[in-house]
Amino acid sequence: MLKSLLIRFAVMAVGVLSLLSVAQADGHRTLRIAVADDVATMDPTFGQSGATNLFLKNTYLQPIQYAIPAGSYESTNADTTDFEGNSVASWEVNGNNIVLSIRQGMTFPTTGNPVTADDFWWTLERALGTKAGPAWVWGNVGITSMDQVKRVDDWTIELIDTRPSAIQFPLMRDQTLGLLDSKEVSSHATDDDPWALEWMSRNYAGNGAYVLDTWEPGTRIVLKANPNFFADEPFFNRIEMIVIPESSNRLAMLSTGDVDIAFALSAAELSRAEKARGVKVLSIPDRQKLNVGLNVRPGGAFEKVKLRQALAYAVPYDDIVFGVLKDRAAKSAGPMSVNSRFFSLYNLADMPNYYTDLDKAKELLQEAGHGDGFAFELITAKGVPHVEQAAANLKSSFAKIGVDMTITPVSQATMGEKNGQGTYDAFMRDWLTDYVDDPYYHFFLWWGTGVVINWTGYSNTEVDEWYQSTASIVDDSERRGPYRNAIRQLIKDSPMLWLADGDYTLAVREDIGGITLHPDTLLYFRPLNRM
Amino acid sequence: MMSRLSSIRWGRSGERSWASIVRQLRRPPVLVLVFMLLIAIFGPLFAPYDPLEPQPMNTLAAPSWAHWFGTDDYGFDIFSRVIYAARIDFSLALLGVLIGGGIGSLLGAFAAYRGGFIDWVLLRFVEIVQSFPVLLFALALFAAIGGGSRNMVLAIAIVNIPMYLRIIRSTLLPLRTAEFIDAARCAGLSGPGIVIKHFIPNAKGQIFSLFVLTCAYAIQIIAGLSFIGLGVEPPHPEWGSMINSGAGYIMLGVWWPSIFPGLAIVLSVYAVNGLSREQMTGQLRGSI
Repeated sequence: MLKSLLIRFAVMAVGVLSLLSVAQADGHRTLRIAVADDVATMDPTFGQSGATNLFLKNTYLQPIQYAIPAGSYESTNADTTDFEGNSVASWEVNGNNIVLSIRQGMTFPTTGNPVTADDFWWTLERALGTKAGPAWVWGNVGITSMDQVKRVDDWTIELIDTRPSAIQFPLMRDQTLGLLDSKEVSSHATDDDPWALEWMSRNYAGNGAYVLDTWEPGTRIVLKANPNFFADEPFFNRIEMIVIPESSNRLAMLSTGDVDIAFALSAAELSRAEKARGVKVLSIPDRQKLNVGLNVRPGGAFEKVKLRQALAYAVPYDDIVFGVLKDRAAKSAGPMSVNSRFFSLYNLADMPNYYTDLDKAKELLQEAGHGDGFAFELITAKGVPHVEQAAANLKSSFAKIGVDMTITPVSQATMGEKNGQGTYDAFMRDWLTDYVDDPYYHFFLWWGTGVVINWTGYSNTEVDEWYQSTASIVDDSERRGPYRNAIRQLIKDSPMLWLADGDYTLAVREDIGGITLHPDTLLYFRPLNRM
Repeated sequence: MMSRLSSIRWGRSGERSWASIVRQLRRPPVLVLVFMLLIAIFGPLFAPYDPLEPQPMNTLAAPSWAHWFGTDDYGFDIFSRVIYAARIDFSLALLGVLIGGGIGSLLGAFAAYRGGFIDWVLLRFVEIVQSFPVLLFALALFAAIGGGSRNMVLAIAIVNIPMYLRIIRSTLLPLRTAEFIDAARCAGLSGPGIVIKHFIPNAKGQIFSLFVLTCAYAIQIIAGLSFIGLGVEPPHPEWGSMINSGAGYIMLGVWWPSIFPGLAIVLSVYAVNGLSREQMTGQLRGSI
């Protein structure tokens, strides 16, 4: 009797232990991430916010990607000169034409539909048809019409008469270019909605390394590893993105081990995180910039160059870099980040630069005709601690040269509207970064006359000529001269106060490794692991 | 008639001696209010640091001899900012309530004097405005006119007008048929003259009680709006915005950026509310 009881107890104990170990193993291979906001859409065409782009990057297959480093590492930078195939297995460049070989043997896990060149063709046609983000990306690759896209066979697409440039291939890794299940998406199209925009905003139709498992809007989004993915199975078979709007709560959850990664913590919170047991803070030199944009349009508050230069000399750079940003940044040296590949390649360190010198600032202010000081308004992104703190430091320093700066926090929507219309004196935005590390990309986005995000209204014909002369040049050394000229001129004209080049920071549990920093700063889940 | 009403409302004239002042100061709300007002007026003389001069290398420092209330995430000295904020909060509240109270009292007295259609229109206006919670109404006003100190005063004034209008009207309504008002009218005094010379003086007690009470509300509204990022321009010190900027750190054990400005609000509202309650109780006793 006793023996029978003992045997039963032993069997039960083994069973319970087995269940516990399975559960623990499952937990071991589940990654929990605390994010600040929810995914806004499932449609790669319309990704805007950080969480949405993070989701799109990991759940859809872009044509190509930067090569992921092999081996075991805690964190590393992606090599932006080396590409590998994603939905496109290989490619061949013939003059201005590019032949793309679509990867064979893949399916879309939610429907089982096989991936063919038809899906690539239709995804590209939809991108151009919606005239949204990916249309702009493909336009800069040189594809503006479906007449330039030829379906050669079931597995081959040819892009005709593209525009070769240094950014052509880097653009094809953009998170907005994810491959769509054409059969599934087009089945939801209607006469009023030929691209099934409404259906796509709430439904997933991709085949990335991870696929959607469940989405509880406003609460969490769960991904599972794609069982039909073409490459090796990732370490984590389940990813939970938990929406925690308050940053202090994200930090608290990381400290207690409830999540493995906490995004978007303030500099002060990162310092606190460093002291928490079991938590480490990665701080990788990056290209994201903290800037003050000045309205330099004719009639704008900063039309006068000397006024802009005066402010540039009155910036308390050390207070912002070492104090506000807690040394997780470097002093900016102009429009190109000191951590850009081109900063050393083009030896931009020898350019003239600004440093804190209040006497010089006062002299320039006098020369600008504002010896008695002047007043202006700085609009800042609301609710971003390091922006508000940097603004307070600027205000204090500017007051010492007689400049009265009023700080007005505004919502992202208002900021976007005012930037677009040029109805502001100055604005401060944080961590603006170019998704492609390239001077041409930077200038044709920011500094060309009337270009997409030339929010300051800067215009200089020489600068336009210099950067446009490199549009079709791929060789870095040939572009060196024009860009050095353009950057020197831009620093002299100072349409922005370039304050700091921030590190990419991420607070994670200490066993998390495999973190690769890409120029778009979107975390790639596939190489992550527990070390 | 006029002298009888006056004696009911202001039956304690002649007590303003030093002894009376000392006796008043023994009452805790009065003592605290005087203390807070002294801080608002003379505080900057004692503030050890410039409230707008951040020390970015010394953020979130715990309370110490160098920084009695510690420093916040900007590196601002919290003690200095709590002192400066008293001036900002009190002056905004006083100004807003003075404007709103003044307009509301005049309109209330005018409605009581005239009656009829004007009285009906003003009462409907009051009912519409008061159908919204005060803070929600202030928020809606901010959405319409924008943030900033000037608009904060405007919002406080606007939310106070209906309160004064309704109460002063009902207080003065019996005067409309009073004999001395008829006499004043027969003597050739104009309507506005009667309102200012005879109606308003008979509501002084009510106006003072309301003034004290609405100041307490105003301080809470200012702190509430600043807490959610409206109101006083950053980085100027204001108790509500100081609580907000420190709130995120409480879970990390950094309590001082929020607790001290919070205590300042509690003390101010306690003092002003207490005074108002005592004043009302006194009036009630007087009228019985």
